[in-house]
Amino acid sequence: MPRLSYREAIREGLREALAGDERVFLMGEDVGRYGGAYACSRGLLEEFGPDRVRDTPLSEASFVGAGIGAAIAGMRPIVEVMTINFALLAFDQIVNNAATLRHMSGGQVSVPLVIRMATGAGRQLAAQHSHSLEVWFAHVPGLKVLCPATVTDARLMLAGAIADPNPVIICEHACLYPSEGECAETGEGFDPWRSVLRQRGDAITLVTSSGSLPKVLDTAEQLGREGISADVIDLRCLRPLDLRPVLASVRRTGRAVVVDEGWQTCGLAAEVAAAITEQAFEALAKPVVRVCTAEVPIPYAAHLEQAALPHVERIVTAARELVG
Amino acid sequence: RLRFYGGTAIVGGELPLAVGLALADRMRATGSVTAVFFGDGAVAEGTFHESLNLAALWKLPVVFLCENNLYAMGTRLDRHQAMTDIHAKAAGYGMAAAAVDGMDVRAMEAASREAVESVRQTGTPFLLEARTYRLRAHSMYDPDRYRPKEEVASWQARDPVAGFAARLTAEGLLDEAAWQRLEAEVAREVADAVASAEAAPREPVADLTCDLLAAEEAMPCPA
Repeated sequence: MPRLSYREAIREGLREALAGDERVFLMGEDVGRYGGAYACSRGLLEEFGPDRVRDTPLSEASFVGAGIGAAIAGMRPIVEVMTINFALLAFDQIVNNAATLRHMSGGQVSVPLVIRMATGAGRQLAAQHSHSLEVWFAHVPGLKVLCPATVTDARLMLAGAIADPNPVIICEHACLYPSEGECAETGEGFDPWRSVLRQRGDAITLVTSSGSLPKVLDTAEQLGREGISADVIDLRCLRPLDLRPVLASVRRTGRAVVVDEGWQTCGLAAEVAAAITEQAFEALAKPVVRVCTAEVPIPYAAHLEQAALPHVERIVTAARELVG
Repeated sequence: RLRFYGGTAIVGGELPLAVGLALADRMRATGSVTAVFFGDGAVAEGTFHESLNLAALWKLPVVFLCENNLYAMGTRLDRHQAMTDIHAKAAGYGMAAAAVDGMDVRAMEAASREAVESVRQTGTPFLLEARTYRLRAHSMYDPDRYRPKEEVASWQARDPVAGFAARLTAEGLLDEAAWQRLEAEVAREVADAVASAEAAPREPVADLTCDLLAAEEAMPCPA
């Protein structure tokens, strides 16, 4: 397996999608000549031309809506929204149109659309470029939401999303773009819609997704040195949310920490914790613990930003208390 | 199959969809033209301006047809637009445009045909403003207290259906018997549709989650 960065893996995924199906095209702000705000699409304009790699005006509502229209007409658009914060300008199109049209039309209208966007904090971009709003989309029936946390997922989830006849949102964590790893080249046996056990342990279950996965893996390593072995589960797909590996793990460990870069109130961690208490309550030795982002807009100052986010020390402390 | 995509209940929400349908046609060189209908109220939405710009920028085959009935629900055009000449807004996007008397059936037909022809010949979009009026209230809940009764009456006198019938009659193309027959046919068609809908069985509750996602993943739908 080649070693790629997350960004390069996305670029490979985009190239494969464009080369593999002439109905696929990419559009968004600065995806062409600039090469993508996070350089994911660098070189694709030169390779596939301006018809299939389209720079758009700063008109999120309308180019996302145009993607929906083109998908309805039988194309397979990949729309890039520069960050999830800007996707709020297109929220109406995503929630009121993409998610509803199949159901409202009794199955007559299909919206095979992929919308990619960067999410997450950690790069000192301040509140309006740093929020983790994936769960807002995950709340909506009719959408699917993928959160690749590894280079293989970054590359192959795209193919799964393109092949899917439903609207799929892919949230790429901004801090992961430079991260490197071994990247699988084929999708054989690859399932983007399932949670995955990233590490096996028996004392505690750590559940996470997206940009928090590396932090949780570091946590598990540190806990391991202290003699606490942890299961690490990467949720990968927030809708439909696959909780079977979480429940199976908690039935073994009896203890769970859910780590999410979103805010705690009404968030992803709440959903996971509720499902555990509903379906595996008898296995719990202690209440489920949530480690989430502080309930403030993400600050600009580096030390405040880090203080707001889930970090290894906080997760380790939470895990120790749960096991102790 | 008929390429009729319905509407959206979010004012202005359908304009970007039309741009996307036309983009697909442009990329596949189908030669089709997309027509999108909206009211004067939609002109205040950002999607109106974004969509006109995008369609003009990418030279997409769209007829933007604004049915300007002078009221966005209860707010009169000059109370929600700084510049009320809607078709002139197209100039800001370098787009061809025209305004037409939307109460005149023949003028409306001719202007629509010209708009579609313009799109076909130039390959660029067109904004057609039909100046019209809503002869009844906005909804069953609307007491219609925001417009003068004389204003409503003056537009009712220009009812396009009655006006067209009068012109056809004057030109000897329609007589009273034919008019009565047409009225009866239309009334029967509407009554039949209502009766058919009311006689139809209700959707089974088991179908509630059908068509949320594509068939292979949705809950099994009873045949």
